Amino acid sequence: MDLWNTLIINPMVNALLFLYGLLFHNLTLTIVVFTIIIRAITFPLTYQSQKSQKKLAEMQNSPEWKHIQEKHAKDRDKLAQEQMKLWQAAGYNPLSGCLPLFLQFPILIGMYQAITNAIAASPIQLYNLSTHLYSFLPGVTSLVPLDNTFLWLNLGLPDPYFVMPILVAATSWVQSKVMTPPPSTDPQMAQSTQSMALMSTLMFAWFSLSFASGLSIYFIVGNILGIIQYGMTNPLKWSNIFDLGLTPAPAVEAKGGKKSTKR
Amino acid sequence: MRLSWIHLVALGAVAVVTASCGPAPTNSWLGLGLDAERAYLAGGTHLYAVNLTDGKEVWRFPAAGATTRSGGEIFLADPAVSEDVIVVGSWGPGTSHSGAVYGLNPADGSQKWCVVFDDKAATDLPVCQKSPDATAFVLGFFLPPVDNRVVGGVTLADGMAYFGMANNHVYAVDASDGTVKWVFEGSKNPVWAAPLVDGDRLIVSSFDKSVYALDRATGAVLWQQDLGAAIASAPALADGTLYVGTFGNQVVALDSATGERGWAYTTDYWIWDTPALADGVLYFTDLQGAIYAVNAADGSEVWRQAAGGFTRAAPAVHDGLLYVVDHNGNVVGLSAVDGAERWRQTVKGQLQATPLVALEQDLVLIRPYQGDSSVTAFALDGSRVAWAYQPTQ
Repeated sequence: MDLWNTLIINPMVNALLFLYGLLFHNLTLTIVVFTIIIRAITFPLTYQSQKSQKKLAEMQNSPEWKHIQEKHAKDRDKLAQEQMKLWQAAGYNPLSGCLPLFLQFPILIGMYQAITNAIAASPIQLYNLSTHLYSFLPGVTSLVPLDNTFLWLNLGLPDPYFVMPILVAATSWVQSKVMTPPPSTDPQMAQSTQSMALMSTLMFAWFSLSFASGLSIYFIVGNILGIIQYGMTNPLKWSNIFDLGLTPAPAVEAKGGKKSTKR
Repeated sequence: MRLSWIHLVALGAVAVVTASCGPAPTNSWLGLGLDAERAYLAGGTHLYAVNLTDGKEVWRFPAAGATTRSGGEIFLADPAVSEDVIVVGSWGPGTSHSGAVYGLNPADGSQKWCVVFDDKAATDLPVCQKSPDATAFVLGFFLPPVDNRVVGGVTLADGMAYFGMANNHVYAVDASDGTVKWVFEGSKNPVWAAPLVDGDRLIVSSFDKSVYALDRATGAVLWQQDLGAAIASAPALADGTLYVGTFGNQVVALDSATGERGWAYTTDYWIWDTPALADGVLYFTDLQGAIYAVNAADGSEVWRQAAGGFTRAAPAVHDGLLYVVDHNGNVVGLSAVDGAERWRQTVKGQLQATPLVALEQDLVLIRPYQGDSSVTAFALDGSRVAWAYQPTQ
């Protein structure tokens, strides 16, 4: 825990307070700018992960993969072996997709904890904040307490009127839908992708309902930035936004393969 | 459903984020007040009256089975205790911060009066008086953000109750019937500290970095002194001098009549709690756990101990001994003369609140945060645990 605080939380909390001092003591603006900076820092990891996902999706829609699936439909071990061969031939490393995502987790969790600590609306939170501050930084302690009001919100508390959870859910849904990788010819895969979009939307909505509304600002800005970052390297599928996955989607033509139905 | 690595990563993310974003713990240590016979514990959902001799519960407010506000109340601030009334502030239900202040009968915990500070609380508690500065509904239902919590505690003097709130205001209330006599709205930040009564003056410490002296009769500002850093506790007072600990790593002496600054003693880190004062010596801790003994007359250092464990709480001092607590659950008896350790006990939980000494019972009471008990009473010599109290459901 000490290592976690030393390497992740303490630098983030102090950076957050430093920004707060620069940005006219406006906590909302601070959270927005802080999110942008963190997203910019983690962009190479995000980009690597997205590139890898795209490559995987392309391979899963390739005629070679379709051929292998049909040929070894009854032999799962052989199918796995052939899949590995296909990946190797294409120069695809499965770790290149998930590793960058895993590397981002500590940063994103640290950011959550940094924001929660900095808001410090209660005695225990303020006490915890004091344990994270660099006392050698001039002026940091004079910033305490932070002004945590914004419009109708107390940024240290959940939004009592549910506006922020709705915005979080909406941006989370839009992000997951417009960033859906090329439709898979594998109906199970397509169904899983669909359910993940719903699950992540509900999960972030629940977080927003339960935790400080300052975090909702972080979620909303993060989702919007995620869409922008993805759009810089991939086509965004705005038409997917209203696809709730309740009705069969149009059949997808795989190159050289049969038609399959995406749900 | 077949899981790809993408889904495993996503599920892992959900698990990690859920674990790291779990519900916040109780947001403060518990409040405590004493009279000669009982301890009054602001223990979260209730205020509990506990017999000091054996640690048995005498009554609780709200009483079991009583009709309460929807969502209940949260009591965490120190109650003020007198023969006629106990005054305690709440944080409102859940995270609403729509608190109320209650006047209770010390004999049985029955409610004498209450005051609310916003329309939501007024709707929930129609029998309560509404403060003149109460936040009103907009369009009949929309309540702007409120932070009507009493965080530090209440002070009783001459039939009046004084308290500051996280909404930046300070209140003077008639302790016999709950009538709000005046409201001071001059602080620019929350007031977490309980006010200090000094003759006709009410001394208020604020997060806006200032100490205010108010006219007790009217709430008018007599003087204001900006100390350059947030102040979270009441000053100590002796012989016309106030001693104020600040988040600017200082204890500052102020003339109580004029607010003029005297000496300042610099510490290693924030001072949160009110310094203890005995025989012309101030005793206080910084948040990193260093303990200081400083001459009240001129701010010269008598002794200091290196940091033990982090602590927010000031020491209690009685009969030549300091009672110091820390984040790691240590309760330590130190010589007030030179800081030498006399005894040490350890309990489960963090200790962030100042110990209280029950003089007639020869006990020192501590309040572990997230420990096995809500109050533990040690003999003054640390030789034994006299009793421990944990409320039953």
